[in-house]
Amino acid sequence: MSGLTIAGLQVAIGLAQPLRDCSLSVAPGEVVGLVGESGSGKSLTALACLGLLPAQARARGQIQLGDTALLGATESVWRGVRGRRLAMIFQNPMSALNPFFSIGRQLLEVVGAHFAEPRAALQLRVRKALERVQLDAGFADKYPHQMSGGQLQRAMIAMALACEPELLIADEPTTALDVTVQARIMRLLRELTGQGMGLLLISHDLALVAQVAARVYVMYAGRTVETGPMRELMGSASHPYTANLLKAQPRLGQFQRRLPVIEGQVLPATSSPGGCVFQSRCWRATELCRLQPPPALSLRPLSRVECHHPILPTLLAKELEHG
Amino acid sequence: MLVYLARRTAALIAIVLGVMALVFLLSRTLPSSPVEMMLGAKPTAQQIAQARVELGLDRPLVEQFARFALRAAQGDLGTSLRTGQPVVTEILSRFAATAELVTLALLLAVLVGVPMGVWAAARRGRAFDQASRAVSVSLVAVPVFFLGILLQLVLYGQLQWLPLQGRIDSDLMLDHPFASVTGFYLLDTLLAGDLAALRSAASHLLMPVITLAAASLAIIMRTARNVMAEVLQTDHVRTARAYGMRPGRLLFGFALRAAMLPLLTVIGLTYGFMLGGSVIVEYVFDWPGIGGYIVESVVTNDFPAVIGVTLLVSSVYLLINLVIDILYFAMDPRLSL
Amino acid sequence: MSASLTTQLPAQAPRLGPWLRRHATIAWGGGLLLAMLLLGLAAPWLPVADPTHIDLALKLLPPGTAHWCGTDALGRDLFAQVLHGARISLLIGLGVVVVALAIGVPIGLVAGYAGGWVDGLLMRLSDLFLAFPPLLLPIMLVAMMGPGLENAMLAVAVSWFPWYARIARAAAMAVKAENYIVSARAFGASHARILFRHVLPNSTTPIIVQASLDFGYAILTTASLGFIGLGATPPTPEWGLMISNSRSVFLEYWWTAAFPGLAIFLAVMGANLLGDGLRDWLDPKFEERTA
Repeated sequence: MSGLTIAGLQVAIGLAQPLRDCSLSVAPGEVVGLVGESGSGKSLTALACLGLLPAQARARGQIQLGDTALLGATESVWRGVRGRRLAMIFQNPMSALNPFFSIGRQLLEVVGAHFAEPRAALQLRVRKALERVQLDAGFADKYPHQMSGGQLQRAMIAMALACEPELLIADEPTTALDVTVQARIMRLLRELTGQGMGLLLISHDLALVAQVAARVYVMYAGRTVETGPMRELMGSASHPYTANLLKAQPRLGQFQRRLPVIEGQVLPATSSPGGCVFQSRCWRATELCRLQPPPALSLRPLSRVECHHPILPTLLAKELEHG
Repeated sequence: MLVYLARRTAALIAIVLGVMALVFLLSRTLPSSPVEMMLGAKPTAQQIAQARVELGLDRPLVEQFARFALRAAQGDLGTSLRTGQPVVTEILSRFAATAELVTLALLLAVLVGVPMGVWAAARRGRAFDQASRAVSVSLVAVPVFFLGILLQLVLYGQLQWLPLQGRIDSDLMLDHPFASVTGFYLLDTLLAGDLAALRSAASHLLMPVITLAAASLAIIMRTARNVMAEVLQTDHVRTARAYGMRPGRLLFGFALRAAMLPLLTVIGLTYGFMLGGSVIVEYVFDWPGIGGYIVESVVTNDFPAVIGVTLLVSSVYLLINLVIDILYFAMDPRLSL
Repeated sequence: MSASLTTQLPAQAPRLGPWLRRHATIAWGGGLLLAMLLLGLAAPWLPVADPTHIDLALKLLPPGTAHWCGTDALGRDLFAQVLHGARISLLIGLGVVVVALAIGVPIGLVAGYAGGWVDGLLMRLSDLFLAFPPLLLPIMLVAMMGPGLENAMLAVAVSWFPWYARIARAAAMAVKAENYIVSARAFGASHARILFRHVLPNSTTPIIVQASLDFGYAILTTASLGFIGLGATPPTPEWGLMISNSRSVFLEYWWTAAFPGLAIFLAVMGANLLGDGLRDWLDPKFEERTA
């Protein structure tokens, strides 16, 4: 099992810079979350890991899967990586599978591309993969239009598992599905990761990610602005944006007169600010924030935040007061 | 599926009847004197009077049409004024020549046009794409007959690589005739093991087939390119890429399958073009097929022949369109399952 | 075949120079066509030879200073013929499209607006004309009507009108549902008035697009008919007929076929480019050419 490391990833498309600086790592077998609103660049990060950026995109930085450098890799390198070592499941399962072939056929195609085995062995792999996602053998002959969204997403997960990858990247796997189906998929993902496979779970829903992830990265405007262990972050976020995200999560049983919102709009990809990317919407922002890019601070072990005025955890703040 | 088939067949019969009615109506109203047209040159007053009764021209139109339709249903499409033979027989004897020409042209247009279009889509915006677009736009603007004449000028007149016209070298036919099993000279000569005749037939086919296929090839290539370019942007192609499918297999095995449907529609359309184009190509290359027959009939005012051919060819055209519709239906699992 | 039904032609005329540069296909295609049309129209007054003047002593001369395109088998100057042919082919092509429009659009408007059995009947009838493979119906019609350029033009137009009927029908159906139609009726506007003042203007854009795309094909078809002897009659200098005339000699005297053929090619190319350009301009949903 290898780990994934992304260092200083930048992606430019035309005049826009949708990914300004993304750095994250997933240890072998670890479950890590990547959270951010739409436009934060999280999907682009995932696509970059698989070499699926649009043709006009220009990427810089580093992506390592174990000791394989991925960014700028050759086609033959990719063929060994895609599906086999690194698998991805996409947001919309209804359109992610070819409507003209049965899912069994599509899964067979994928395993056939990676394992040089006789047909019978390949079909066994397909059956096993379908079993793991609790789809019985009959589904192999079905076409996508004959299946529900939840079943299709499970089929996609089966496809991802079929080649036994080291790491699975899931980009908004439940966003297009019903809430009840969501729970089922999340449960499945939890089970699978319990068996040793790494998972990078990408979502705009912090609460969803909290169900499975040990660590989480928060992205805003193309930058990873904060990271930390899940529990700690949920308890006390350091970056003002993360704090806002947490506050904005509606909680069942809690009556709120007005749902808290984050004022302002996301920084457009075409603008290049001199200072912090979040400052225009930040209640803690000062002149310094406008002029100077924030430093990356490590206030606690395993955490990192890019901010001039991070929200200090209460205990630490008290210590600083006294000491 | 069966329901669909039944419905479409019923519709087909209805349209064929409608076409017959239209042709009939036009044949009675357009010409200045339908009788003279039916009888040929300058008949006497007595002949005219006789024909009026025979053809039932004094009866109400509806009754005339009923007789006409009934005869047609029994396979009698009239008698040619020039040869005195039943029109149906004359058409059938020429059918194979046209079928060979159109089939080969269609194969050429599809087997060359589709891969080139797919390639252009894969290399979208680059040199091959631009070049193929320029070629395509130009080919469509060249009249079919001019292309044929140009080819004759260069490949026969200047270079003498290929024969001018006809289906096969007539001397060859006399020296060693071969059995006409299918009517397709390429197949028949192959079956007879007659290589010299095969070569002759093939060389005679080359220019007419290319001429007929050219414009259709251009359209198919462009359509394939456009449809593929769209398909290549879809989510399921992205998935296939994400799982390491090889580019060749991705293009031709996976993505092309999704592009097949709209492509099939266009191929059906170009087949229609070719039926019309075959009239011209057969005229240019002196090809003994149905197209040539139509031109001969029109030019010699063989009215019954013109009507007969039009009806028959239109029916075949409609039938093939039906087949294509059914294929379309069968090929889309979202519709047929 | 479809185009946006709600796009209108721009309200104010944009600056010509930069606009032409952006819509290069319209510029080139339109320019080419316009040049040919003007030359063709001006032909009788230009200092070229009489295209019908036969002089056997001058027959089959190659292109040279005296005869830019050479002469044909009857000694007639080819350049003059090609020039005069421009007028004929372009005007006939225009005529085909206009007549097809004139027949098809009213039928389609009435069908779409009236709906119900009127719609069904009209569409079934016009679909009958589509049941013939291309060229077959015009050939049969000309056979019945007798050869001649006008007959050929009518024959082709009659086989094409269903396409325009369909476009007009779609536009009528789309507009029929609009609220302002209902209010117009409430104010007592007659059906005819509504059709004319409201429905028709909305369908102009897709019709213009289709017509400009068809123009090139109209030129091709009439030339084809002329080639097989069913269109123009001698001594009309029609391009298709000219190539037909050259068939006995073109193998040794290439110019007798090449120049008329080239002329057809240029005219159709110009028309196609113009049509494509107009379609790209007027139909924002059509994204064929993305780099």
